[in-house]
Amino acid sequence: MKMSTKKLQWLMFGWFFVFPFLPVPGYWITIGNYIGLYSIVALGLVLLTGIGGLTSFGQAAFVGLGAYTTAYLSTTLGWSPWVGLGAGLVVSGLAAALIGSVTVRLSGHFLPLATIAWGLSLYYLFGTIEFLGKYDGLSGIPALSVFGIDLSSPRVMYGVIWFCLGGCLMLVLNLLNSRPGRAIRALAKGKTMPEAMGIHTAQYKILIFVLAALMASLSGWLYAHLQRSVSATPFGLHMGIEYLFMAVVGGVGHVWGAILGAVVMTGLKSQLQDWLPLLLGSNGNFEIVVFGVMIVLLLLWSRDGLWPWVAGVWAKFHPPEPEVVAPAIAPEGYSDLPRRTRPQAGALILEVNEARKQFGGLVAVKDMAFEIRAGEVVGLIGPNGAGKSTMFNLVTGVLPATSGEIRFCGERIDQLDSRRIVRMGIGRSFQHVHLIPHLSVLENVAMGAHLRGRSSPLAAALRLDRHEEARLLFLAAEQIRRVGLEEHMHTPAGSLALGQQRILEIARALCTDPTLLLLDEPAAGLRLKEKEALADLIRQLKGEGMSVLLVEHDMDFVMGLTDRLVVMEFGSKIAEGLPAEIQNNEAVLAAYLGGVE
Amino acid sequence: MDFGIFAVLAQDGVTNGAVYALLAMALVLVFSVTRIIFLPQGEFIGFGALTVAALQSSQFPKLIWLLIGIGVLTFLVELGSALRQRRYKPLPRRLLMWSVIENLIYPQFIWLLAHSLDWQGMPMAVQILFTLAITVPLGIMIYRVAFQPMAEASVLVLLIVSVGVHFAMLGMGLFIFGPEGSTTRAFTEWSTSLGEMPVSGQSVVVMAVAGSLIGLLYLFFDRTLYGKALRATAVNRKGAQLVGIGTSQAGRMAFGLAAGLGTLAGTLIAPLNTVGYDTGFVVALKGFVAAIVGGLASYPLAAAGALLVGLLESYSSYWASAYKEVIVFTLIIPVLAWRSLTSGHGDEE
Amino acid sequence: MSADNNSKPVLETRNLSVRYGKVEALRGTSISLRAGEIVTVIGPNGAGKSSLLNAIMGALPSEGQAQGEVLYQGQDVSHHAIELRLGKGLALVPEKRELFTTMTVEDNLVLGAYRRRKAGWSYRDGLEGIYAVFPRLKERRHQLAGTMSGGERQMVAIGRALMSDPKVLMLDEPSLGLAPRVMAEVFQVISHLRDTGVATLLIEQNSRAALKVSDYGYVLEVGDVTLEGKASELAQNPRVIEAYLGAKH
Repeated sequence: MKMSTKKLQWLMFGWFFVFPFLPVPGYWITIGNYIGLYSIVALGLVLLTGIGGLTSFGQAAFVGLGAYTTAYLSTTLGWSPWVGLGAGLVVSGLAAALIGSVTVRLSGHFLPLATIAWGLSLYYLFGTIEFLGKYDGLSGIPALSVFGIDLSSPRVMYGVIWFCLGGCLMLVLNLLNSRPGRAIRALAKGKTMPEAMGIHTAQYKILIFVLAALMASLSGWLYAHLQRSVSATPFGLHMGIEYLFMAVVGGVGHVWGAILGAVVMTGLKSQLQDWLPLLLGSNGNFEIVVFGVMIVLLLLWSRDGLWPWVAGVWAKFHPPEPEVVAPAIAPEGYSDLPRRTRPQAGALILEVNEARKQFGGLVAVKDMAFEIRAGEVVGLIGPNGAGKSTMFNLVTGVLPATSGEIRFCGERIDQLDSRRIVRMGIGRSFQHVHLIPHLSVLENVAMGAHLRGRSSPLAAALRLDRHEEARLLFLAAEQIRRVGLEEHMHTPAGSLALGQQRILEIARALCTDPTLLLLDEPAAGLRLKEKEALADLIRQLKGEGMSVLLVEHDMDFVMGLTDRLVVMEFGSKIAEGLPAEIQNNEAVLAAYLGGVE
Repeated sequence: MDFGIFAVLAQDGVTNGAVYALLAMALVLVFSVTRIIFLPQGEFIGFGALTVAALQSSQFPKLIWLLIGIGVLTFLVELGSALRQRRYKPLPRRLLMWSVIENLIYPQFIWLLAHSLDWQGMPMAVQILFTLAITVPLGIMIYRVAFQPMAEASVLVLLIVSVGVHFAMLGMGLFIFGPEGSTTRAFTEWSTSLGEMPVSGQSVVVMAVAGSLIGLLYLFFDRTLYGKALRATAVNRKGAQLVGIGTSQAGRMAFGLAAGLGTLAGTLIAPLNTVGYDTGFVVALKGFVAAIVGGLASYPLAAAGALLVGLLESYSSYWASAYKEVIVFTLIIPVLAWRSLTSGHGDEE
Repeated sequence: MSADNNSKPVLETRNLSVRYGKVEALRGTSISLRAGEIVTVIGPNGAGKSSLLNAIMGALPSEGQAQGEVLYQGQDVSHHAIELRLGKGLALVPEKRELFTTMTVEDNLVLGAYRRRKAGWSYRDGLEGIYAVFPRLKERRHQLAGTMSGGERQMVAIGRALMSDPKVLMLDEPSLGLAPRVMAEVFQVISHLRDTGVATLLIEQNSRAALKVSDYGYVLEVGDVTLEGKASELAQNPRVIEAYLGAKH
């Protein structure tokens, strides 16, 4: 459940700004500095791991790239630290883009493994390269200064670090609350759903990988000029693992969890490093035992980390309000949103011609042929295992056809991927609903409006996208009203009943402005009332001129609803016609009730 | 480079590659059976080597303390889960009795054995067997305590748990063994030469042991019911459950095997290298690079990857010794790029 | 079989419910099965048929929660692990078969007897029994299970379940994706099993064929039993036809 805890958040953040002005010992300021530095890295990990679903143990290496770049430029070449900042960001960004493009297409666990190897190899590299001072590192790094004002005192650096952290937080929060942000949130749900909304998942994965690396690099730059020297050790794999632990402890799915995790881990570490050697009677990094055990226990107890717990306690006293709200009246420019021209009623829109799909020796779809005309509701039915789902996947581009052709409004689509197909005007729902459960209905539906906007992640982070954002949210809210879910606009999607979730998916598909709507077993698992509501919605959409292809198993459901039925068995069409004809068709009877004599 | 050097480097590479192959196979086994990426493998390398070293210098193998401690913890975890289910069914007395024997009595027995016998004078093979008698149950207990309660979690959660266990074991290794490394006795002083190439007995022993272990593993998986059960779990978890191969039982077997293979790998490298409490991690990661070459799924490909890693390491230590580790770990990038290009569709979830 | 009709049920569910998070797949279902009987549960997709079998076997996915009683020979086994239920005499052939595709047919069968360790019994005897029922599997015993045709895979799956010597065999959509001729073969095997005293709980969408071999039947719709009765009567019941073909006007 998503809670608005704005006050708590800024209270927490504000405290860190008041903190250095209090008469606290210098040691506390040092700890505060490290918390800020670590939080910046952990924030990147929250974006990458908690929200985007990609895990990295190699963030310390990116911190190292940022630190070493500025260290080298400002000592050996004597350039300004500000050049070092830019150069560090470029180096880390390029490295991340390279690694990202190599690994994001592979399944989830290859990326973290690659980051382990990558983290180690960069660590050895830092320790080996002559001009980086080998394992001694580089020292004599100049302090930061702006317009001749020296920023070297720890208390002043504290301000700089927390200013940077505040900036990163703002940019990340802005980004997440936008069109590209919703695309990033959709990534955690696998590939099929976001791609069906027109989201280029590989690009967005590389984007968040680069963003996390940039934040790490910024932290490294600050570190180098705070510490005034760099060596390889703080950029090793163990630090990379600790960064991830911070994010997990704080709550890897929550932006503010990054700071909470950094506070907890840094505080704990400094205490343990004081106490454990006394307790055990020898020196060493024994705190890693505590960290390791703590992380295992935490994951056993609650996989969401500490933040949801803190926020939950807070929410008891300060009831949450919805964070994302659609404008009440159509915002300026709403009517200018591009809309597809509707084909004339009765015009041929989908033609399936001898489509075939083979998996090895198995022919799942055998030379299927049928068509859909504008304004028609067509049912594709058949017993389990008849090949309906495969046929559905061929039309939606999840699978390419082995042979034959499928045309939509005259253009061939049988080899296109789902991202291109949704662009042409085919919207779809899923048999097993694909929603982001903790986001509101509005935010989930707005994912469907991805292709209706064009604002870039940068524009979103800088809030230059607000006009477009208002239009997209209004569009989403319109679709929610269209399907009759307006009461639940701000309810988390996960708490709706299954029938409502199916309807939510239809609203999301409507946001893509489809001319043809494909529904995959929309009635499966629904109760009678829910089925009736769904049937009413489909009739209403038909009345508005929508064409619908329903893939269904439930004959009862499609009977009164469709204009025409296509019946499949063993991958082939066995009958086609009006529902009443199909009901009395011998072949269909045999297929459904069994023809074994 | 003349042929002599080339051949010596090849011999080194294959020797190390054989050790990496053992590790890679254990990693593939654990991953395919449990979906756990077994990072603590490295600790077993260090623990194994240091325990044999302790036995040879007639010190008490302090790893037994850890076995006793984790044994108590495991027993408590099992008792706790039995008590929690008391509402539904009577306490599983037989199971708890086994748990007492395995987790409380067995470690004490090992402690007694360690104290009562003169281990220094024993043949090395016996010392290694005794070390396995400590590490294999340790691996099984770690599975029970840390992984079994969340066996259904996603690969990524399991990976983070794995890292947590690695951290905890590494810190305990430092506490138990201290920061200093050790070496063990050589297996053999014998050496010969093949034409121009000197052949060290050590290499021959390592290759022979690794080779025969791989052979034994093959027989285990191909011929025995337990081996088939492990394979079956890796192929189809639900199917395995339906014939009564519990996920947790398979997980314990896999962890026991992996801990044993890690320990053996440690004892194989210990005569030639100084092994410290933290040496194993980097060695195990080289096994990982090899396993990733095999996509964490194929044993022959993982073994081939291990030889590749061994040879690459050996030749790069000749050409650019400072960059040896960098080169080995960077190998993973082109390998993944190649897999990414050939896999076509990205697999999800 | 009629001789057994008065005996106690070998398997019974009482008020069995299954939830997946917020979704209720099965609502308080009660069915029973006597030794040597074939009972069919029919009903549309999503009615909770597979959930019923998985709950009886204890093989629900981790997000699934079962409530209610599962009585095997009068004893509540609803909190037993799969291994225990398997040892008592329950076996499930799942809808997706779940074969060990990269292993040989014989290895698949042998693993079916993984829990069956008794003095004086060797899996060789078990294999001979299976090969007697499915001669084709004997011919192909060294072939990998993944290379078999759909019908043969179903035979391997049934054979693997039989290797555990079940008293109650549960089959989830055994005819799924099979050509009519192969389907007929599978049903023939099912009706032969009755003669060995095994009770069979069958889930089918191919209701006509299933009811033909069954003694008793239940109609499950959206998590509830809406109709039950002798299989021969059920096959004639207009509501059964209606449930599938939506014949109401």
